[in-house]
Amino acid sequence: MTVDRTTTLLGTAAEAALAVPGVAALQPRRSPRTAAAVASTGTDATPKGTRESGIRADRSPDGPGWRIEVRCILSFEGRRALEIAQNVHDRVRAAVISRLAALDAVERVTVEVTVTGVVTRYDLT
Amino acid sequence: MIDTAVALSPGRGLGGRDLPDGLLAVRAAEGDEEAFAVLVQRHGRPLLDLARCMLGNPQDAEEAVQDAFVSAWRRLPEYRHSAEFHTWMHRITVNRCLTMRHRRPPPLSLDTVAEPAATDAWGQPARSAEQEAATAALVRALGELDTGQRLCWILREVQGLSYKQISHVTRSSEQAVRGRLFRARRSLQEAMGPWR
Amino acid sequence: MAVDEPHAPPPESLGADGTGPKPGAADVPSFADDVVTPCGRLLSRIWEQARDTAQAADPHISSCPHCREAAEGLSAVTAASQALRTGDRPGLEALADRVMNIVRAEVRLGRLLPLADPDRALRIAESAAAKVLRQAADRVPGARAAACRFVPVGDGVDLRVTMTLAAALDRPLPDRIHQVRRSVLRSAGQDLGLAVTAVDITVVDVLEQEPPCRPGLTPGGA
Repeated sequence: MTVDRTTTLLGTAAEAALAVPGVAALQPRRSPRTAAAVASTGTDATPKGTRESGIRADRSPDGPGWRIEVRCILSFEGRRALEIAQNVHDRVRAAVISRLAALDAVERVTVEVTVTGVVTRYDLT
Repeated sequence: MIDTAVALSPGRGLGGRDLPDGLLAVRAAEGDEEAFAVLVQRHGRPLLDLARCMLGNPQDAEEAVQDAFVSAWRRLPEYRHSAEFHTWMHRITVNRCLTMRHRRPPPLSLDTVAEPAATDAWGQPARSAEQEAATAALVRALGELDTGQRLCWILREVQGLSYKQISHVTRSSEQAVRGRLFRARRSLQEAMGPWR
Repeated sequence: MAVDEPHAPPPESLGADGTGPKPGAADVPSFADDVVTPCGRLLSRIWEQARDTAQAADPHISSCPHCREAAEGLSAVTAASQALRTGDRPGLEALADRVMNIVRAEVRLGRLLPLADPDRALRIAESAAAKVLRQAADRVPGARAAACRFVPVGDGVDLRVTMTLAAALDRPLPDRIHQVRRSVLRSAGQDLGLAVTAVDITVVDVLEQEPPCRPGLTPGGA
């Protein structure tokens, strides 16, 4: 049951993060073995909301609650990285709390956002 | 307040195309993958030629050079710039080719090779079994040459560079280049003895 | 080629009838393992004439049977290397794509830096921040960033940037450094939202303003 809930929360967080303007993608988290497999097949078949998609959801080490870590790549489009990251934080937190409430769980949620890369307009030329 | 924003023309090389290797390597070592992409574009072609000479076919050459670049990316933080980047890449590629060669089955002898089709998959006129075996023997012999001799031979015979250009690339005198070339030819001539 | 090299046999070593030096004449081998043919020519020269150069051809080598046989000795190697010269050349584009896919999946995060928000845990990878600030430096004409590192200042979110540069010498360096500093500070604040308190800049290389690279030789300005 705990595994299902983690998966659910991963999916919720991923959806919320990707909906934030200025988020280009989540940072894929790959072992070298998987990276090589993707390179040889040339496709990226990682489902959203898994451990591989840049979101991590753990039970808080100190007391009840969840800790969500979001790793994302930003594209600027006139916004500051700081504001985009703040939006990601707030929206993911709201979405996860709302999801837990729907499951009759009221828990503390902390969110950490790490910007792992930026796509600038020079990358696109 | 000074306005430091500058309009750029597309080919201006903000992506790094005009930066020297050493600078790109520093940036790539800090995680700048665009800088690394420029290095791949610059050095991929000569490294593919080198790998092809050591392994004998284009598919293996691609695999070796791909592994070499990925390995270089992972090791860039330790690269101390005591050698030039292209020299460092050359070394990594040669080592990768040598490792791959050790895993290959030995080349077929003349009597076990089936006669190939009239043209190969790319429509090039196919070579005879004997020609294939001769090239394989040459490639094997190239792999056993001293590194400097092999490089000079490839630059001269495969890439067609002049002595002056080779001495530039290898940072040695033309006399040294000629000496290595001569020794390489001697060794290869001996190895190709049966194919006279 | 023959006139340039330091160890070329002097022209006077040719015999009076021009057919070649007498054995033991001044055609001293340049390489320790070189071989002198019965007619007094160096094997290295014979091979060089056969494979490397159309200039300063020694007419003796072209006509003498000993020399021609020696040149023939390379024919098997030359024939076998034909495939390496002209055969299928492996494609670079597909290879470059595969390499970059792997590289991007393994991107080095490096240290994580705090974004300027005391109430939320927001961080940016040093490599991502460095990329943006390097581009800010690059936007200054005559400047190209090399390394870009960050040092925390105090216990909070403040940071100090340490950058090395290649700079052109067409303007005074202090002016250029000043421009780069402004560009970097501005980008740190307006693009990223990093609390950068200082930017240390060291010029470590001269930027050559060169025309685009010619294909083929020595990339990197060597």
